[in-house]
Amino acid sequence: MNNYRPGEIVLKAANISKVFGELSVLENFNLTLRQGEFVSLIGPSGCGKTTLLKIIAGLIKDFSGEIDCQSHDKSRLFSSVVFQDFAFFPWLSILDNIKICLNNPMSDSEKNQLALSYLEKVNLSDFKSYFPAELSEGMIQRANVARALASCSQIILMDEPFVHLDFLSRIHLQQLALEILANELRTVFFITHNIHEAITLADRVVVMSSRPGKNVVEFAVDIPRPRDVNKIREDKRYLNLVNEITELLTEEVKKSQQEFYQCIKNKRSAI
Amino acid sequence: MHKKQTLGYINKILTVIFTAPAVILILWELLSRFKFASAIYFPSPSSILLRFIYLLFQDPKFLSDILFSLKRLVLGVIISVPIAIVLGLSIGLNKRVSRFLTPLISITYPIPKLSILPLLMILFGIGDISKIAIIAIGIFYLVLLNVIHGIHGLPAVYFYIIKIYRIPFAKRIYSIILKGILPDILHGCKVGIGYGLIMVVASEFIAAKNGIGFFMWNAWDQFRIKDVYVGLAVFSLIGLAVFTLFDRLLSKLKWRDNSRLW
Repeated sequence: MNNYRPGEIVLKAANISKVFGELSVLENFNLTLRQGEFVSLIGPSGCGKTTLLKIIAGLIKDFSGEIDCQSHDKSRLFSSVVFQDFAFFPWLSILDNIKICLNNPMSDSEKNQLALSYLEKVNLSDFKSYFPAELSEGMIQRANVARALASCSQIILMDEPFVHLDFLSRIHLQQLALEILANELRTVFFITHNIHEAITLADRVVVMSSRPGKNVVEFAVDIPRPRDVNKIREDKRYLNLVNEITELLTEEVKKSQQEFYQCIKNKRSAI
Repeated sequence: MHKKQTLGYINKILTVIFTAPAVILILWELLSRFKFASAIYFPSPSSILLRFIYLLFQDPKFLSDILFSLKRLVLGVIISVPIAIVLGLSIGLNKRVSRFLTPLISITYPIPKLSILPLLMILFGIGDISKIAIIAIGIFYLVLLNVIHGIHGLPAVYFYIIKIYRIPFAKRIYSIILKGILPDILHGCKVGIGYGLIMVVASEFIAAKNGIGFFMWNAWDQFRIKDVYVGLAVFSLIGLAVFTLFDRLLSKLKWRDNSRLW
């Protein structure tokens, strides 16, 4: 399925900037994704993470900067997205929801097989004919991950996919993600504001500044795989990374708050 | 056990009787039986029912009037609903089409549809065509507005999914958009057909040779008050059938949260 060499650059985003009206959301952001790599993007809320993801996914077209994905094989889907809200069509069963997103030239039975195999991987094959409204949030998000995997896209974009889940489902899904992705060697770009999640899952953590989003620093997570969501918390390297990133982000949040207060003060004095 | 069963029956009978129409009919019957209401202007419901049954089985003209009215209504639906759905889809999904057509809808929608009837009669004559046209126009707008409203109500994330997974056009329209707005289409048809009935009756009041509207107008003309009530009953029965049909269809959509539909 993957005819790409591991380590080959699959996406190079250079100097990405985006302005909504007068609000600058992203400023000269750079990002490189390599084949088979899991990259987490972390940053304070409202810093433009989702905007960046939408730009990469092709949902936002008017931005400045360059996105280079030359190695993309046009017959394959470039990106699939796991959204934070449960993006399923309520009138289709879980299986049909996945099948409708498989648009490669395949026969119906092949699509069925592919969708089912991924539903099995997320332990949902018993629920294939259920409607989304009949499943719990954790199950839906598992199906969402299955859909992204089944679409065989070159990169999988995830926009805080586990943010609405309770603690236990979150841990369960993180573990599942680690296991599946370890076998599949997919390229994943994972947005989160949860530092622990970012480090646990990723090979590389990219930190974004508060709005407008700029590159701050990147950390390589050199904790060997396979990892275990619970055991990794005792690892020294993990703890060091958590501390470092927490400090960085706290400063970023402080900065954005100061800017916010300044903005309010300016508005008041204007009145 | 026996007692429970009888209680169950009583309960069932009570739920049927204790509805507003049943209560009103019973009160009406009592009032006219005991001469509290004029029997000429308010004939008792039972006598209206008898007259209805008599007309239905003894007067072939009455049955054909019903069928003529139904034919006009059905033709109006068949003509207007597909056009409304196709136009609604193009307006709801395409910005350019929307910019082009929305002003036209905004200026034509508020026109009382009946006021176009004279114009239609000049254009198409006083025959069936102008009648069916006015019925279709009446239904058209309500279905169209519901379709557009339905599309605007679909979450943005559906359109993201369509774009990201490159879902092809036919699948997009049939499996996603049409299925997603099916409740709105059904609701539009339900309200639209109700409005279409107004058009049926009004168009048959003027220059018609058949139809329930004609029957009622004639009855009024010849002071057959009972027949006026019979005409009203026919319309409310058609309305009831339409509402029941569409409510059934709506409750068949299992993916919807039907807990608020009783």
